[in-house]
Amino acid sequence: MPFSGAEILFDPANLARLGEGLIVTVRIAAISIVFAFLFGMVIGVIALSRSGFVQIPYQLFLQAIRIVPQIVWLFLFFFGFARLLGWNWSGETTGIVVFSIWGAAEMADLVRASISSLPAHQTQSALALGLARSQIYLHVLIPQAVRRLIPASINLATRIIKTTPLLVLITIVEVLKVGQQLIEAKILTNPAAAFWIYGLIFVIYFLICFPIAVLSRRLEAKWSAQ
Amino acid sequence: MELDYPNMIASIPLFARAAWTTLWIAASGILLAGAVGLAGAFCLYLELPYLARPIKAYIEISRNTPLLVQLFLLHFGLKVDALPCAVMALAFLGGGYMAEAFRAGLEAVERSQVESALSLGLSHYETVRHVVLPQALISAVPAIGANVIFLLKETSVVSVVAVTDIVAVAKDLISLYYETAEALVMLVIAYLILLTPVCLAVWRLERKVKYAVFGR
Amino acid sequence: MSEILAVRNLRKSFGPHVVLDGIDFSVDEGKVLTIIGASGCGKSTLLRTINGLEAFDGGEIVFDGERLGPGTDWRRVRSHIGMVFQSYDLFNHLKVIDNITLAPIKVQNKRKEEAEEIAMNLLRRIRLDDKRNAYPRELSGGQKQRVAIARALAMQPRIMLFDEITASLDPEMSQEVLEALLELAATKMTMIVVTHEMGFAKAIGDDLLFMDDGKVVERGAPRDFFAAPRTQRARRFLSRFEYQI
Repeated sequence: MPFSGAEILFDPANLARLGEGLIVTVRIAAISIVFAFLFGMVIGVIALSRSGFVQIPYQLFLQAIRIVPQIVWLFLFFFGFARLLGWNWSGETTGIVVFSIWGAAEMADLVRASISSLPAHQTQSALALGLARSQIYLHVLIPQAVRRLIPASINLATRIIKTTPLLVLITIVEVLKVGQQLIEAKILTNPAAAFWIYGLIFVIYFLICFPIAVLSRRLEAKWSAQ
Repeated sequence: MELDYPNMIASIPLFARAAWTTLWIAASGILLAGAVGLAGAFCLYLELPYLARPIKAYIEISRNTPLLVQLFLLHFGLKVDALPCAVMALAFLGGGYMAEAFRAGLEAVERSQVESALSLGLSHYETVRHVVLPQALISAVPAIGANVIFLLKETSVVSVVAVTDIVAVAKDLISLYYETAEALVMLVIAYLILLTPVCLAVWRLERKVKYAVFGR
Repeated sequence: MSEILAVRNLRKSFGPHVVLDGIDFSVDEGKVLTIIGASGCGKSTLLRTINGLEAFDGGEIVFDGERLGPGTDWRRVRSHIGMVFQSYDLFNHLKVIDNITLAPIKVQNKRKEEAEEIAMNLLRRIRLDDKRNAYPRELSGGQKQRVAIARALAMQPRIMLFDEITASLDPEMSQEVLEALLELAATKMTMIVVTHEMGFAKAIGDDLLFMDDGKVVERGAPRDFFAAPRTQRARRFLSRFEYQI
């Protein structure tokens, strides 16, 4: 039964290797999140325009990103564009590019929604007080939009983190791949290695995502109560 | 760039069979997830003692871990066969999301609706059956629809436990026959065929619900 | 006249806060009892204990010869006690007609046609028969509240309880709801009306309770109470309304 053999987790060398894999995972996630947020904010503000020249490409971009699963995007970039078009991208670069584009699309929609859903009477009552347009944005609209945006974008960050295991499929040696290697090395001597290693990785992901999810919920509850 | 059309056409039966597998896993996983989610949300709503904590813990664990790792743990760690493993993992992940959707729907039904049903002489069971549930389900429709699309897309990772789904077929064509471009084009087309009708159906249903019963 | 409801020495607390502090009163069949008092005086809680939405700590409630309490089959009792709330609470997912027939069909096991006939008669009485297939969201506040009254009446209750039913309506809509109540009173329906509309309390009741701080402070004919309140507390309460106007 797979419940003995936990000693594989107590070998410092194994833990060190998992740690290195985890650093790769976190690095890719962090860089992708930063790019996603930056590009997402820019695209989201542009998408506030009701002009067809903006809305049609924006909706096409957003829906195309959304309807195709992330794994398919990774394959398209890694096997498709990279090889066929002669881009010599590493797996890590591909991962960062795909997660950044996907995250930027989702972030853009959050930004657009958080600003455009502010009730019109907020602007009107600010105008009635004699505030200038720029002042209204600075003191009335943006602070409110940010309060809607922050919890949702933290949530988006956890979604990006939870998508990182897909990187194992494009040959990146991240935490899951290291796990696989450790298990393969011990396959004969420790048949329960898979349970313990994947169990540990499961717990690691939970310990990263859960606190972030709690933070997002707390902020949302705090700001929606006001 | 020139695509090898005869080979693409020849691969259609492979993709069709794989698409059937994908759909089958998605449908059974989503249905199970719905059942798990509704049961969990209901137990929370009825404030059943002893069950609230484990259910809340389950919701957090399923929502805060990646499906791929859940699959690895079930298949390689706990030695569950590939196909049942795929369905179980999808149900495990989806159950948490569905429970949240149903819970929010149940909470959206105001306490006073229950009181006025009780004051008409309806029993607790009748109140839940005729007053609370219909309204909860209606207000949960958008969240449930989003979950269905999300879970159908998540099904795309089951090839990692040796299920021959669309992604697995594409991977084989790429690594065994080097038909990279053809396989990728077919892969995208296959997902568009699977997902477009579902997305359209969900959007339509959402719009219908929005204009229907609600608002006071 | 026979007594249909009697409340004796009723007590209830929420934690340390005493909400009902020994309430006594009774209602005879065919009479209208009005209850007034400042918000938080316990009048809503009192109504809710009568049909078991709120448990009580001491004293007794006797409805139609039966003592109500922990062992009561509330389902049966509630089917004889109609109640209408401040927030109307029509069932949002059901049409007007189905809102009214739900309880007769499910609780009294009436046939659908029979229940609908009763419902249509009631809708004609409140002049909303053209709205039978409308959903609650298509009605005004006043219309919703009249449908809520019809829904309670469809159970053919022995007594009707009204809990501040005009409190969320604007004056014009309150007027149409209050007229519906006056018409109902004319049919000799037994009613307990909790209200904050002093003019209405003066017009409709056979009997009036003034509550303050969980106690019945004054009881008497509405005309006498408003003309010459006997207690200091009642005088202070009434003077507040003059200030408001």
